[in-house]
Amino acid sequence: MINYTVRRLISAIPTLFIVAVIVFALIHMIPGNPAAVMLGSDATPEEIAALSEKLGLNEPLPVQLVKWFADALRGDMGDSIYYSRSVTEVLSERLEPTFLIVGYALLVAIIIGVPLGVLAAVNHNNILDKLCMIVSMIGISCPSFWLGLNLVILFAVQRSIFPSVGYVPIAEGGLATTLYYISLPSLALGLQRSASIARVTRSGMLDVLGNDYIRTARAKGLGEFFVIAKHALKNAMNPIVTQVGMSLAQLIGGAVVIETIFNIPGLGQLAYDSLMRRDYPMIQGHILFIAMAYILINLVVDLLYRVFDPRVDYQ
Amino acid sequence: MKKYRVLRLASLVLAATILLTACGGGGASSAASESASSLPQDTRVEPTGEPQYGGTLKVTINSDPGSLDIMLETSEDTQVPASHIFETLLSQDLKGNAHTGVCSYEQSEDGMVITLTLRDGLTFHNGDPVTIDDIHATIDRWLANVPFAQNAVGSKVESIEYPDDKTVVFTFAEPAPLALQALSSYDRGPYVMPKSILEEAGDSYITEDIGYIGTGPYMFVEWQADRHIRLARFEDYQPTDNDADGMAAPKMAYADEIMVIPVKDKMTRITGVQTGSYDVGIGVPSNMYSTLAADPNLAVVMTDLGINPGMVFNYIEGPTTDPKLRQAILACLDMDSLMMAAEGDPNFYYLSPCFMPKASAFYNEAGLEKYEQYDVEAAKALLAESSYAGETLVYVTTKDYDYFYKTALLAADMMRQIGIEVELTVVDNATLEQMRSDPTQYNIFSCGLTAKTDPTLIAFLASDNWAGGYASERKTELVDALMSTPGQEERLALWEELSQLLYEEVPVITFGERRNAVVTRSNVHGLFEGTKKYYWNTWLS
Repeated sequence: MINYTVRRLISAIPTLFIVAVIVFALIHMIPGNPAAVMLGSDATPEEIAALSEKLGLNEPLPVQLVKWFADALRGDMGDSIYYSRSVTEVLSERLEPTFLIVGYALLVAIIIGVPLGVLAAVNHNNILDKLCMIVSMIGISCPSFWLGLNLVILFAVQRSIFPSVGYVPIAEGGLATTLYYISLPSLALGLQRSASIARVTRSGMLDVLGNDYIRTARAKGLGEFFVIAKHALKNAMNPIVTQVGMSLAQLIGGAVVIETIFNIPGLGQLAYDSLMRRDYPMIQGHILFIAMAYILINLVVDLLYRVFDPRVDYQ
Repeated sequence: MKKYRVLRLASLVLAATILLTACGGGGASSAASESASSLPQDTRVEPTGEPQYGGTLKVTINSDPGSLDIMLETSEDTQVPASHIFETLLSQDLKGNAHTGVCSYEQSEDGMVITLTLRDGLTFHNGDPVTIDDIHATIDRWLANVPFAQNAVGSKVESIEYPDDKTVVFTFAEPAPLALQALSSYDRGPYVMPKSILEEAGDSYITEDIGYIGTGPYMFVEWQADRHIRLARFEDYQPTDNDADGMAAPKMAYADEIMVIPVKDKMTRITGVQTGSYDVGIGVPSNMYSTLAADPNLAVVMTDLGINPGMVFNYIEGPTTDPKLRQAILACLDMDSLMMAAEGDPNFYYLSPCFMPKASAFYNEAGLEKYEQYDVEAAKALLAESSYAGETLVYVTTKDYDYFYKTALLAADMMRQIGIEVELTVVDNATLEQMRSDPTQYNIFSCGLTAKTDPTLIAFLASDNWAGGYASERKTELVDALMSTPGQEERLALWEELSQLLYEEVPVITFGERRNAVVTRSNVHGLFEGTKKYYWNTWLS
């Protein structure tokens, strides 16, 4: 397993290189000049040209790419055009809220999605199954921003249970306060993802529940809870883990909208702002970071397959 | 059978509900719109007692600023927090007149000599006294980096002397009517900073590491990126004794702390004020006015925004270089409908032909008859006289500012009514700014001209090279005259003549002037006046 992990990590380097080149080419193909955005609508072409020169934007693109990649290999993602600070520094300031929201949302998705799917599978084709699937279909159909806005109206505007906006870092208010602040955005993200996890859990469980070993377990007189939790669910876990991994990746993407609605100073909001400002180094750094996160998530999911199914061979 | 009856009944109830909702929805919205129009413009109630000190005031801006170096940055997101930390040499009232700031001033009768005197006992936030060396360094950096400073002062000054440790004397070689305005300008004005900091930063931006140290009523405490900028009252601050309004009024620093919070989404800002997370939210949409105004915990305050939505023509190449075509387009535009489309409520805009804000001393109504003509037949006649031969005009706009898009959509339709082919190109704002700098890519683009304190600062008058490329001999003559004529009456007359010219040459069309609703918690008092946003005189009850 260690060999496999090392091989996968090494193979990530060319992947990241390809991502970096494609992203670099794409963002420079988009019209728009960061100097013009920074100077505002009153700027004259002379002022824009002078700032472009100062920011090094007039150099040929291949030169800019080589410089940027050489720096990136040394761990230096360059400086943000807008903030005049290191990209790594700006990104690291926004990691905490996004990680916490995504983690919290994933927890919500699993806690709701897995039991709902199991309940539906165990009660296959009866009213409870249909009810669970209707709920999950509604969940999949509701965009997280819509859920977010409704949660704000219900739990912040009409009943002052949760704050409608903002974020308090752990260092400032402690974990409990931070979790309190991110409850609504995490619920909005997590509820939506729980629906897909529920559906995959149901289908995985249905595949397993008809197997002979389940019948044997029941014939041995094992309790139903034990049969479901120990024998059925464990064997249905691989598709669920895949879905959870995909959900995690999608949650990182979904954070862009939810962070804007709840005014959370996270990576998603930064990505959107950087794109609007044409802050090239910031966009490049951000996408490279997300690509790395995706690679790691995939690796962890692959490694988890063996935990639930020892027959999986990494050779 | 019973089952079907129940289903039929349910269907009937559902259909009736949908019908009622549909009808009721329209009625309600129209009623809301009417009631909004008839509502008083402000719902704030100012208490009769003395202003109170204390509390933390949480105010919002649109986006996290790139820097707080207010001398080099022009964005409002920088200006709002930074104008509390730094102060200009002189201050400016709502009409644009100069008053005492960090320095007091005297101007010779012929206007050729301006003497600034540093006020006694002023200190920076780090406790160091403000010295003439700091003033000297500030003026040097300002003149070297700010185009307006160079045009209004640097290019006209014969000498700048520092005869003693309190005095600066500007002696001008030619009349410099904008010098006092420049010295008191909110936009990239001479914001006083310690010499050591200016030397360390040079022409680059001042950063948090170098230090945001000024003389203003609030001190910089911390900046948590995308979260807040925290300012605390500067206890040693000495307000001026100006008898003036706007930003020239004495600054009192009532709140203990001001948290400036970047909130991009307008609805998030408003929800934040509703739930008490913020105290002030800018930019209430007109359709929310009634709801917010009815909430006893909130106050809705109407303020001037000083933004003129409009369209800029390509003056360099293509069909729009023909003045008859531009005049035809002007004649076919129904300004009231355009502004209504942009704002959604008559309380939220002024119909104004002028490129200077209504509140300005330079406001005039020159060209009013052409601004409000809206005559389709006259437009068709002008079009027939023009060289327009059915070419498709590319009209570039963006949805990043919804009033850009809404007005462009309607204006394009109005132009089509008189037989002009229009292709609306909708891009993001960064792309629009790129496209408008290339005259081959557009014929018309959407704009939102921001309020200036002097007509010569309006972008398309300040430079022939600004997007659109408006250049004409008469314009240059009048702008030059405005730049060099000292007397206010003469300058007003020149501006009126230039305003008239803008309705003859039609390089840019303004649809009107936008206003703005600000929602605050009901315990917030003493909100800013004018188009600039500041909170040193705002207090919490």
